[in-house]
Parts: sequence; C-alpha cells; structure tokens
Amino acid sequence: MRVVLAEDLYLLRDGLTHLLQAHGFEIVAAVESGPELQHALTEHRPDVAVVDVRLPPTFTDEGLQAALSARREVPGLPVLVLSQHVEQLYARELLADGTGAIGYLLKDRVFNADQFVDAVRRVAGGGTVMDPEVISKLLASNARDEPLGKLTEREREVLEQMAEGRSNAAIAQRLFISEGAIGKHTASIFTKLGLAPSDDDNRRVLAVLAYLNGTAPH
Amino acid sequence: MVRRYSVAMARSVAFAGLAIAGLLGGLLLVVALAPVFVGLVFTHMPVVEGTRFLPRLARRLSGRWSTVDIPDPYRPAPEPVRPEADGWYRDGDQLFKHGWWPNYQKRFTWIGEDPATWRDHLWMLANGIVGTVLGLLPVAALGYGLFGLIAPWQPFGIAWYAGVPLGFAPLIGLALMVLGVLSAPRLLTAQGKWNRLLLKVRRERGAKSRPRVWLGDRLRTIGYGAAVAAFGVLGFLLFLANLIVFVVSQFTGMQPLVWPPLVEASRTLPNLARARVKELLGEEIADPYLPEPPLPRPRPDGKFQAARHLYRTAGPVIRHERWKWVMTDRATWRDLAWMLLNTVVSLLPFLPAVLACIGTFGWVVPWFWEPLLAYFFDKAPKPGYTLTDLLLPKATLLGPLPGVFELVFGVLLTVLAFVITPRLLLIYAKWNKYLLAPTQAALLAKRVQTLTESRAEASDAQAAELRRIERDLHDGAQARLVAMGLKLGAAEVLIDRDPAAAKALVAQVREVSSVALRELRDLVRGIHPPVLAERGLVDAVRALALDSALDVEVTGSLPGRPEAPVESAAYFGVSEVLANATKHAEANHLAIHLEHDGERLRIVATDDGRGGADPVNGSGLRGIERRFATFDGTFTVDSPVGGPTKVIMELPCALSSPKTSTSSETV
Repeated sequence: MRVVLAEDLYLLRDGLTHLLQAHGFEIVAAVESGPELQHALTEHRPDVAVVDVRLPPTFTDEGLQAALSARREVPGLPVLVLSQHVEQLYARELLADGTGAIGYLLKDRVFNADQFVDAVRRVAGGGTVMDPEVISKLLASNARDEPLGKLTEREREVLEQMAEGRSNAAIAQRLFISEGAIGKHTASIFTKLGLAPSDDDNRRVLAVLAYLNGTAPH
Repeated sequence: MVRRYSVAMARSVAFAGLAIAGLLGGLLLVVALAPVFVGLVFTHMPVVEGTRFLPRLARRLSGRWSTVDIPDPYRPAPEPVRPEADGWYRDGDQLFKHGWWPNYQKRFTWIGEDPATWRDHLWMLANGIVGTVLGLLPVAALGYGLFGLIAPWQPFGIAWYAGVPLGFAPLIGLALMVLGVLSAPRLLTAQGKWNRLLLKVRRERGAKSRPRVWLGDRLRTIGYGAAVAAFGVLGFLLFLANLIVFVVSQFTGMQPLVWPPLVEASRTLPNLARARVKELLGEEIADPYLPEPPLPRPRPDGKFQAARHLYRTAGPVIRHERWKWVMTDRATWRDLAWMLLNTVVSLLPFLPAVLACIGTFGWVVPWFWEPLLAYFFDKAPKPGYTLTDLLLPKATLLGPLPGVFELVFGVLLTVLAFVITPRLLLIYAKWNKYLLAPTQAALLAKRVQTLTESRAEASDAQAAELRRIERDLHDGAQARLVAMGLKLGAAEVLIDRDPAAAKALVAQVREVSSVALRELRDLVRGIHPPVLAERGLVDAVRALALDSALDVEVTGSLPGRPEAPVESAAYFGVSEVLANATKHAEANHLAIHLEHDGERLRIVATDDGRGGADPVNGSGLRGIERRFATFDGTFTVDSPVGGPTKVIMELPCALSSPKTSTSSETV
C-alpha cells in the first residue's frame, strides 16, 4: 500500500516512516512542508496520505489545506490527518464532501501502533475514522439536537463507534453484544436519520456525517 | 337595533360612573401625594397601586365596549430584593436586616419613574369632568327630551322649556330624545378614544423624534432657551457661595476642610450644563476634571506625610491632597469663571422669550384688546373706537404712530424671536463648550492616568498568567516526565529478569505520556488556542461555537487579521461570554457577529437568556474588561432583567493584509 507522509518534525516523520514500513506500507514520499505535500499528492496519487495539520512555511493549517485541495482534485483521495489538537471545525471541513476515506486523529494515537495502523488501513479502505476526543466533544454539544435526540442510548453508542470507523463485528466485540444486535441497531439508526437503503458503506458515512453535523443528512 | 342603542346608553352611564370614581381616586391621590413633599413617603405608593385598577378598568372597558384597544402602558414591576449570601438585604450602599424597606423604596421609585403613573393621575382628574359629561350626555338628552314631551302641561310647576313656545317643546323634546339615543354609540366610541388619548403606551423619553412642526419646534426652543437661562442665575448664586466660602475659609484656615467638598458639589451645575451642550450640539463634552488623588499610603514608620508635616492618621493628608487637587485643577477655575460670566451670557438664550412676550403681549394683544375693552366696558365709548379707527395714529412708547404699527411691530418682534432663537442657543452652547470642555492638558492628564492604570493591570494580569502556567507545568507535564523517567529506569532494570513486568511498565509509561500530552494540550489552549493561530479569529470563534453546548450562530467576517494580542483578547472575550451565557443566563441561543469598520474590531454577542448580568459581579468579565482596557478597547454589557443580554466588544486595531479565506463558510 503506497503512502505519502507529511510531517515537519524529523523525529516523528522518521518514526512514522519506520512504523508504517514495518507494517508493510510503502512510503512513496515523506515530505516536510505544505507545497511539497501538494506536489507529492498530485504526483504520486497514493493509496493513503498521512498528513500533519501544521506545516511550514506558515505553520498554520497548511497540511489541512493541502489535503482538502488535493481531495477537491482527486475526490475520495484517502487522507488521515494528524494534529496536536482536534477541532470539530476541522472535522466538519474534512467530512464536508461526504466521500468518506477520511481520518482525523490526535498525534498521541500513534503511540498505540496497532490501533494507528488499523486506522490507516481503514481510511485507505474508504472508511471514516474520527478521534474519540472529537466524538466526545460532539456528544457534549449536540446532546439535545434533533434528530440525533431520537436515538436511544445504545444506538448513540453504536453510532459513536461507527464514527470511529469500526465495522459491525468490531463494534459488537467492543460493546459485548452480538453482531446481529448491532445490525438491528444500525438499521434502526439509518431509519431514524432518514437514510434510504442503498450501499451500506455509503450509508455509514452519511450517518457519521449526520452525527457530526448534529442534523439530518440531505 | 333597540338593544344596541340601549346597551350603548347603559355603557355610557357606566363610563360616567367610572369617571366619578376616578375623580374621587384622583382627589385621594392628590391628598396622598402631598405628604411626599415633606418627606413622608408612606402614603403615595399604596394609593397609586390601590387606584391603578380604575385606569386599568377604563382600558379594558374601552377595548370591550368602544372597540378602542388600549394596552397597559406600565413598566414591569421590579423584582423583589433578595437577601445576599450573608442574609442582609442590599439597596445601593446600604444594608438592611429586613427586605421590606428596600423593596418599598424599589417599588416607590418604580411607581414614581413610570410616566404612566402620572398620566393615570391626569386621567383621573380630567376624566372626572370629561368622562362624566360624555357618559351622561345621551341619558341627559333622553331625559330632557322626555320632559319636552310633557312640557305643555308644565309638570312639577317648572318651566322646562322656558322661552320656547309650548307647542314646539314636544317637537324639540322628541328631536333631543332621538339625538340622545342615536348619539349613544358614537359617544361611547368617543369615550374610548378620549381614554386612549391619556392612557395609551407612550414612547419613552429619549426615543422621541424631533417635532416636525416648525412653529411648535421653535416655540419649544424658545421655552428651552428660557429654561437654560436659569443656569445664569444659579451659576451666579453658586459663584457667590464659592467666593464667600473661599475668602472666609482662607482667613480662618479652614480651607482644606470646607473648600474641596464645596468645589466638588458645585461641579453638579457645570455638569448639568455639559449635558445641555450635548443636547444642543450633539457632541459629548468629556469630563474635564483631573482624576481624584489616590488614597495616601503610610510611610515605613506608619505615619502619613503631607508636604513637610507628618500625621498619625490619613485624614489630614487626604484633606490636603484633595485641597491640592481642586486648587491645581484648571477646570475648577474655569468652572468658576463660567459661573460668573454665564450670568450675563445666559441672557442670550433668554432673549427670544422676552422678545416674543413683549411682541405678543405688549403690542399685538393690546391692539385687539384695548378697543374691545373700551367697547364693552366704557360706559361712554369714545367716538374714535370703531374698527376702522384701529388704523389711526396712536400715542405709543415711540411717539404717535399709525395704529397698525402696533400690530406690525409686535408681529415683527415675535417673528424675530422665532427666527433667532436656534442661532442664539447655538452661540450659547458654543460659549459653554469653550469654558466647560476639558483643556488639552486635562485630556492628556486623563490619558496618562488611564494608561498607567491599564498598564499596571496588564502587567499584573500577565504576571498572574505566567505564574499559572508555571504551576501547571510544574504540577503537570514536569511531574509526569519525572514519573516516566522513573518507570523507564525500573523497566531497564527489569527488562532481562522479568520481561513481562518490564512490558507492563513500558505500557504504563505510554499511558502517562498520553496524559502529559493531554495536559500540555489544555495548557496551550489556555495560553493561545492553536485554532486561533492557525485560522484567525473568525474560525476560532466558530470552533468555540461548535464546542459550546448552546446553539451558537456566528456571522460576519474580517478582511484581514488583527495583531496577535488583540486577536487573543477578542477570542478570550468571546470565550468568556459563551461560558457566562451557558452557566448563568439560561440561554439557548447565542448570536455572535464580528466586523471591522476600518478602525475597530467590533464583536456583538446577543443571547436569549434571562439577563441581569453585571460585569461588577463576574470576576471573569472583570478580567476581560481589564484585558480590553490595555488595548483601549471597551467591553459593554447590556443586560436588562428578563433579557436578552447583549455584549458589545470593541477593540481599536488595524488589520494585516488579507489572508486567503478559509474553506468553511457554514457552521
């Protein structure tokens, strides 16, 4: 699997390169600035890009902007964004195009190599991975909004896990209930959010979007 | 049909009854109001509250019977005073053991300040006559007409229709009866409209638009000028009082004791004049006085020093300082000069009133009046007094002149008064401004004081902030790093002997490092939020809005970025407002608007909460106010009880060159 990596701190860039290579990824480019990233993304068209938000030369949100503009050019280009801090604002911007294949994690999550590599794989596979911190902030601020307010406690838990990019099987394992029950919950969530039966993966993305926006999907 | 008219008549009578009841109530009010003027405040308020049901009933009945809707105009009643945490009730700077007195005062002020109260009074008194007449007219016409029908028989031996041929009396009577009955519904409507005239909601003072009628406008201006002239008289008296006290105290050595308080009290008058200038010129006159001297601090030996004298207590030093303060303030002497000179200058705005009075009552009115008097009251009218003779020459103050001159001259004088009055008022206002506005030196002194204060506060705040960061780092990340080092050391020892235990320790180290990172993240967020650095103010506020539990709407945009410290102050201002709206205001919705008008950044936040926020009580808001003061910014909270709360933050700043706009437009 071909990866473009953008991180300005040498130690972290090196560490990530080793980690990903150790797990069978091929690093096609490891860059350290916004313009380089832009160039690498359009040139290499990687299977997944791992991008730090803050990059030289401005040290603002270069990485995020580069990722967003690359995704405008190549819709659905899988991007996993890493940051020292997570903001709902950025999460929404990343999810806005609704094509999935997006990840947004705190840099701390790299510590747990297995989970991190898993997240990279899921993003590359078109899934959506949101940091638990984004999710918990959303829970705090959208607690009483419609139509999410209609969901039961259990359904909210399932949706939360879905937003973190887990499959039904993984959610079942986490919540200690059967996969069949999870299936029922997800179906109920889709109905309550008004998502017509179609491609299941797409519906999952839309449900997560609805969750993040606190509103009904269009 | 019949029913409609009879009902209207009955209602008219009821209105008349209400009018009489109102008259009685009004008289009671007059009696109850009188003791207030000698300081007995216990009678007025209960009577006002007790009689309010009368105008209220009139409003309700006007709506129901006359189809003239009159909403209640009263201001909402004040909330009762609640005891403070220590159980005492506070009213201004007074504490009370029981709540009834502050509550009574609060209600007294509420009743007295509500213009509707006084219009109710007026209605009660005036309606006693007007309402009774209007109400009884139909019934009276009906009754009197009835007597007309039987007038030919002269019932009760009274000639009801004296002077009318007896044969016509029944006809007139019939006509009167019909008129009475038919007019009843109209008069009922008139009754309602009359009630509305006095009892409706008026625009509060200040919201009044300028009158458009030239004549009325000018007449008011003339009256205003005459009233303003009172400053001349009052100023002169005050000047004399100041002069006498100054001279006498100078010789008795009491000056520091009596002179400064008098000067301070005297400033009320120039301050009132300043408010008038603001009305006339539309520009604020800044307070010209030097800031009050700070309280003295004792020397190391505990004594207080004033010039070369040492005192055991602060009193003499304070008096000395205040004496020096008023003596060295040029505004003191300018005020006194104004008081003296204004005695003469204030005749200027008074002039139009004098001219108009002389013109109208000294020349125009007598021109009509004298012939009329002569015609009616002279037993032997002089042959000259006919209408045409008004034009004949007459002896006047200016010698014999054609009769019409009196009229023309009087009219000219009056018109002159009407024409020159605004100009004179303007001249007067400018003269006032000349002496009452602060001098350049006073403005500078004020500015220095403000800057000194805000600098001291800023450096205090900065020091406190640094201390907080130091403490957080010391107790947080630093301690965690130490723990990590210890654990890694232990793992190093264990790694060969007990790999499983070493592995567990390393896992712990990872956990601790996570915690340390989280703490650092929170710390950084408190110092300078990353999203603010990355995206600028508008997006940072959007991010705040997203994290808030409220429904927050962010509008507006900035064409560039303010300097970092200003941006940061604005961000934390909004953050504090959000926190307050969430915690205290019980708000659901908050609208935040950001804009920059080329000179200042302006952020307006409006919530739908219950209001009553007071920056004095909120330490957070006070902190923000201080932070804003460093940048000459203002932080205004407008929060009437009952809401909504509106916070306006203004920070003068320039914007740097525009940065590429963000991709996010919606939140």
